[in-house]
Amino acid sequence: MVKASRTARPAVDSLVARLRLPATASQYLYDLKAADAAKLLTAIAGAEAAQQKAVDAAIKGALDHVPMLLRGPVRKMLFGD
Amino acid sequence: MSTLEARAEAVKLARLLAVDPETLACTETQAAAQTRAFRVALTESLFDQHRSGFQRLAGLAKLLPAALTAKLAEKALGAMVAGRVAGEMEPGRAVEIAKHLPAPFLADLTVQLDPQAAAEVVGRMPVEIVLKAALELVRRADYITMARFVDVLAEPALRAVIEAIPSDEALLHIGFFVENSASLRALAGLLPERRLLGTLRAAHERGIWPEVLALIEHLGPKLQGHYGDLLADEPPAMLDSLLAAAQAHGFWTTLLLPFLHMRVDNQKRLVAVLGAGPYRAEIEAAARADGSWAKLEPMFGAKA
Repeated sequence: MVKASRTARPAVDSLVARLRLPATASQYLYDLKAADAAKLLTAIAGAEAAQQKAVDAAIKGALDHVPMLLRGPVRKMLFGD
Repeated sequence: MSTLEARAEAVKLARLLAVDPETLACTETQAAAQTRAFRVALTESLFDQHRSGFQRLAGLAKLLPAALTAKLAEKALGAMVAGRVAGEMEPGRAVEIAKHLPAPFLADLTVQLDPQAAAEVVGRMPVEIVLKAALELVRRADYITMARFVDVLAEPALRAVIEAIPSDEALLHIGFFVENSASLRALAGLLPERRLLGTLRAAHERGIWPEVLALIEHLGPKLQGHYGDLLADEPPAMLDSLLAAAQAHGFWTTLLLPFLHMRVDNQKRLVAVLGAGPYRAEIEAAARADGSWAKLEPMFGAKA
């Protein structure tokens, strides 16, 4: 099996640490060819960014969509203040 | 069948990451089970990145009326976040909110929902809401999403969905993407004979025999044999197209399964056709490889 090349390995290591992937999942990435691992890593980074953006927008948007009277408790639930 | 399963897993991984399946076609070189395990771990890890945010948003459902929460989910959260938040909700509350969601958003949310994380919510969902989402997903031909829920849907809901889907071809596509063999067997066990026959006819008419064979591979001997018996009663053109597909895709070993478990009278009828046909050598080679030739040899007789 072709392992991830030296150039791909640091990027894989970084992703594995950031996402706290289990050893079995990280081995999957190491087993891909370097170019294939790079494609997958790019897709994962895109999904992380999209999720971050969606969560931020949801938390902000939730406050905007509730009636004025309920905004206090909602703000407390969402932001703890 | 490994190629088809690897392709299905690549498509599912691409779906999770919201990229075109072609982008991740490279993962088709990996074993399907490994890609699946990677996807499951990645799903969990991506979820964990924002678990506290999802939990805070889920907490809103306790503060707000169900109708308002449903509106909030659709207008502010969006399907991706709402799908993840649903798994963090108290199941009864999630059901109340789902009652207020329109079919298109319910389907969007279902695409994003992790069936395992939301198993209790899905299991308690009333049949009419399950049907609302399922029919929209069928309309979109989103068989991958439907298959993911076969594991966790309660049997009454599963039966209702099967009855509500008129297309046997759709059932076949859904079955192809089901991951758990036990769930697939249970699903096939719920199909009445006319639907099983319908999947054979759909495979013949649409040229999708690999999907049928992938399904048969995971069934128990009784249903495998039943498939064989149904096939034996169909016009010869169906058997011809199945044999041509087996030759084209190298599925001879899988093809033996229904043959080995079908009724003896049907076995004899097929042996008369197969023994004199152009694929006898392939059948013998496959049977020798999987150890079933000792049983088949007396029927086929010595090589001509």
